Amino acid sequence: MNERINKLINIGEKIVSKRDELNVDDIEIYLYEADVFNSIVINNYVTSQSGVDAGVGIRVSIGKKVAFTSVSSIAEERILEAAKLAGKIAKVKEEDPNFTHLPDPMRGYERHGIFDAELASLNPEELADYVSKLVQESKRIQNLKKMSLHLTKGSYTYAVVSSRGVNVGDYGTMISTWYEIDLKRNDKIGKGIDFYISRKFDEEALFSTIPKAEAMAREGLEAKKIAGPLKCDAVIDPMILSSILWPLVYNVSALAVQEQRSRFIGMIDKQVANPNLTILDDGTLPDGLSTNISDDEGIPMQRKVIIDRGILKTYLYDTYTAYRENRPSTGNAKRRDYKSQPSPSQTNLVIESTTSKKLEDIIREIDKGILLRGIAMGSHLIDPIKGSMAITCLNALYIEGGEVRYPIEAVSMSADYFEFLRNMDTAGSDHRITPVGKLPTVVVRNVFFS
Amino acid sequence: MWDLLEFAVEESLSLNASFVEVRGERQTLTTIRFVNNVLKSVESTSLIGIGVTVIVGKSRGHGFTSVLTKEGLRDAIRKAIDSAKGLTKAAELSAEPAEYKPKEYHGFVPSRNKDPETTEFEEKFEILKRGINEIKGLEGIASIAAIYAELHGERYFINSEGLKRFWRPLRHGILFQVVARKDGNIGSGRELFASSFGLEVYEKEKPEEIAMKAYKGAIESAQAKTIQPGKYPLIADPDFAGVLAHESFGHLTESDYVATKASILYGRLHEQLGSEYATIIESGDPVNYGFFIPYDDEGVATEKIILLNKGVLENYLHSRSTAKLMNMQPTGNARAINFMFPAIVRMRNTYFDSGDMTKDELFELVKRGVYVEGSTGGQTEDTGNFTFGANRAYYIENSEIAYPLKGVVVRAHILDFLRNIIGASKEVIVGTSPLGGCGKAGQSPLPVGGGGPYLAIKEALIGGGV
Repeated sequence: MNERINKLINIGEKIVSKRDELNVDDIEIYLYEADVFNSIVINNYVTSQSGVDAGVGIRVSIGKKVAFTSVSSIAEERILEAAKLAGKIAKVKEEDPNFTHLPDPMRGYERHGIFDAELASLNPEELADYVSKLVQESKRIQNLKKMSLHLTKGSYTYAVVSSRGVNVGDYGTMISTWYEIDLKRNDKIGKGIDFYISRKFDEEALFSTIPKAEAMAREGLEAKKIAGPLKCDAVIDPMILSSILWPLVYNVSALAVQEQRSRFIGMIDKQVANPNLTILDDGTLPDGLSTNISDDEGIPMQRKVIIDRGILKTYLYDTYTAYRENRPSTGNAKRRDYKSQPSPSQTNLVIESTTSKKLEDIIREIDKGILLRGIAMGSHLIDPIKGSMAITCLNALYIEGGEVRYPIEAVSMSADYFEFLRNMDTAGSDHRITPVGKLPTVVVRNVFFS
Repeated sequence: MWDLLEFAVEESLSLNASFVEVRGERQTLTTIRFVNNVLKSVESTSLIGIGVTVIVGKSRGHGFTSVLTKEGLRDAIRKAIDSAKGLTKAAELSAEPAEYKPKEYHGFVPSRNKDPETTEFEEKFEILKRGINEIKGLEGIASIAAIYAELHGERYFINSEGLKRFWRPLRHGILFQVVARKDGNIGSGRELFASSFGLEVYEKEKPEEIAMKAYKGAIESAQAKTIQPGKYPLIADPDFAGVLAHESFGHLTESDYVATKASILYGRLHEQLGSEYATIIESGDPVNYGFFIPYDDEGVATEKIILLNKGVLENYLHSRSTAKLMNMQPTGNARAINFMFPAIVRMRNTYFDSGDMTKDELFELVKRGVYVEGSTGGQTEDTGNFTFGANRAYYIENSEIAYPLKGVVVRAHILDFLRNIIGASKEVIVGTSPLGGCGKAGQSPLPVGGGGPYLAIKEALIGGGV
C-alpha cells in the first residue's frame, strides 16, 4: 500500500485502539491530507494560497447515540482531544432510532483513484508561473474589459479506519481552471467563459480555455434580443447541464426519501424521465473527478444505473440510510470535507448517449431552438420539490432550420423540472468531464424562453 | 503561539521577503440541531493553524500549515515565497502595503458576561428548548427545526513592521424553521437571531419570541396570496435593507474590484448616486447585534467608513495594498475566512444609516405597495442589477399591512434603488446570522453584519408568487 495512505492509516489505527479508553461502542476516523494551490486573478490583481490542508472527522457511537467532531490536524494528541469531545457529546445526546451502527467493511475494493505524478510534482512557483502565462496570454485579447481566472490544484490522500474493521484509503490529483472574460465595444458587453477540470495535467487543455472564452464573448458582442417569449427546443451544453442536475441528485438521495422530502418517494420502477434517458452514477469512472477506491465511509465505489430508459431503478445510499432499509450501501457517502459528516450524494453522474451525434450534428436536426452554453444564473434557486426552475443564460445562440442564426442577449428558460426531465429525449456523444460527472450535450423539447 | 509567529517573520525576511504578515488562529464552530423536541445532532469543528503572507518583489504569496512546528512553518513559508515568485509576471499591480500608523479600536464592544466558550452544551440546549416549548402543540404545526450555532476563537497577528494584535472573535445565534398547515395549505416560516454578545443576550432577545415569529410566519405563508408582477412602492425592513447594502452596493465598493476597473463604481467618487436618504456605513463596530471585528487581518483597527453620504459616494473599502494602489487610506477591510486563506477586501457590518421618520410616518408615504421583511437570498450581477427574495412580504393598503404575500422577489438596479429611497426611519438595527455569511473568491461563509432603518422606496419591480 502507498506510503501516504499507510501514514494516515497508522494514525487512524492508534486512535481507534483507544476505543475502550474513550468509553464508546464504536469509533470511525476519516483522515484527509491535501497539498493545495489556489490562485485567483481579477484583471491584474492577483491572490494565491498554498499549503497542506490536513484534518480528521471523527464519528463515535454509544448504542443509538452518534456524535461527530472534526479537527484541522493529523497530530495524534489533537485527534484524541476531538475524539474525547465526540464521546462527551454522544453521552448527552438523545438516541437516534434510525441509527443501526457505524459502517461495516464491505468487499470489492478495486483501486481506481487517479494520480498524475507530473501534476502532483508541480510546485507553487511552477503553478504560479502558469497563472502568469495565462494572464500574459489574455493581454492580446482586443476589447478586453474584465478577465477573471481561478486555478486550483490539489494532490490528496485520505483514509477511513474504524473499530468495526474498515481500513482503506486512496490518493489522487486534480486540477481546475475557470476562465471568464468580458469584452466591451460601443457600450455593449460580451461575456465568455470556459473551464478545464481534470485528474491529469494537460497544458494544451489549460491554455485552450482562453480562445474558447474569447470566441464566446466576441459572439456576445453581436447578440440580439429574442423576439418575444417563445416555446422551442433547448439544446444544453455539458457545463450548463452540470449546474442543473443537483435537484435530480437531491430527489434520488435515500435520505431525502426517508425524510419524506423527495418527489421520488415510491417511484422505484416507475417512469420519472424520458424513455430515451439513461443516467448512471459511476464511482469507478476512469477519468471521473470523484473516482476513488471507496466512498467517504470506506465502502467500495460502485457503478449503478439510477434511471434506466426513463425508469427510476435505485436511490443513492450511504450506510445510515442503507442499514435503515436493511440493504447494502451503494457507496454514495460523501463529505463536503473532513469537517462534515457523510450523507448520500452522487459520485460521477454519466448520461448515456442516445445518438452518436455531437453538437454540430445535433443542431442540424433542430427546427427551432436555443443553445444554452457558458454562464447560467439562478440554477441554485431551482425548487427541488416543487420543481419550479428559471435560469438565465448569458451566452445563448438562436437556432433555426438546423443552423445557428445569431447570438442572443440574456435569455431566461422557465420550466417545471420534472417535466423538463420527461422532455429530455436526446443525449449526444460529446461527453465532457464536469464537476458532477461526464455529461454530453442534451436536447429538451418544448421549453419556454423569454 | 507568539514564538512561532515571530519565527515565521524572521525566517521569511531571511528568504528575501520585503514584507511579512503572520496570522495564528484557533477557531471552534459548534452546531446543535433539534427537530421537533428531539436533539438530532451536536457537531464541533476545531481549526488551528498559521498562515504566512509574504511580498517578494511586487507580488504576494500566502502559505499555511496546521502543523505548529518550525518545520511546518518552513514548508508554509517556502510555498508562500515560491508562489509570490511565480506570480511576478501576473502581478502587474503592486501588492505593497500602504503606510499604516497603528491606531486602537474605539468602537462599541459587546458584553461577554456569560462566555459560550466556557458554557456546557446542556445550557445551550435549553436556549433552543425555550423556543420549541413556546410553540410546540400550537394549531397547525407540522414540524419545528431549531439550530444553535456558535463560532469562537482566538486570532493572533504580527507583521514585519512590529505590529502585534490579538482578539477573540465570537458569534452565536439561534434559528427556528417552522412548517405549519392552515386551511389545507402548507406554509413555512423562518426566524433567526445572532450577535457577538455573551449568552446573557437571550434574556433580552428571547428565543420564545423568535420561535413565535417563525410560527406566525408559517401560518401567514400558508394563507399568503400571490401578487401581480409589476412596479410597486416598497417598504423594506432593516434586515432586507442590510442585505441590499451588503450584496448590491457594498461589493461594488470593494477596491480590488474598483482598482481593476471591474466595478461600475470605478471613477465615481464624489458623485451623487442616491437620494438624500441613502447613507451607507461600513464598520467593524457591531452597532447593536452585528459582528464585532476590532481589527482586520492586516492588523488595521477597524473604523466607521461612510461609503455613501446622503447619496454621494465618499469612499471605497480597502486593504493596505489596494489603498496604496489608489493612493487612499487603509479602511480595515482586509479579511480572511481563516489562516488557510489570504486576506482580501471584504465587508464587516454594512448598513443604511438612520433617517428622521417614525415607522408610522414612513408607512404614510406608501398608500398601496409591498412591505418586505428579511431575505431568502438572491444574486447581484456586476452590472448592478439585483434580484432578492423576501423572507416575508405583505401587501400595503391605505398605508397599513393588508395581507401576506408569497414568493415575492424584488428586482432593480442598485443605483435606481438608491435614487428611489424617499424616507428612512430613526431606529437602526444591525444583525448577523448564526451560520451564514459572505462568499467571495472561494472564502465562504465569512461572518458579516448588515442592517439599517426601515426604508421607503418610490418604486421597485416586484415579481414572484409561484
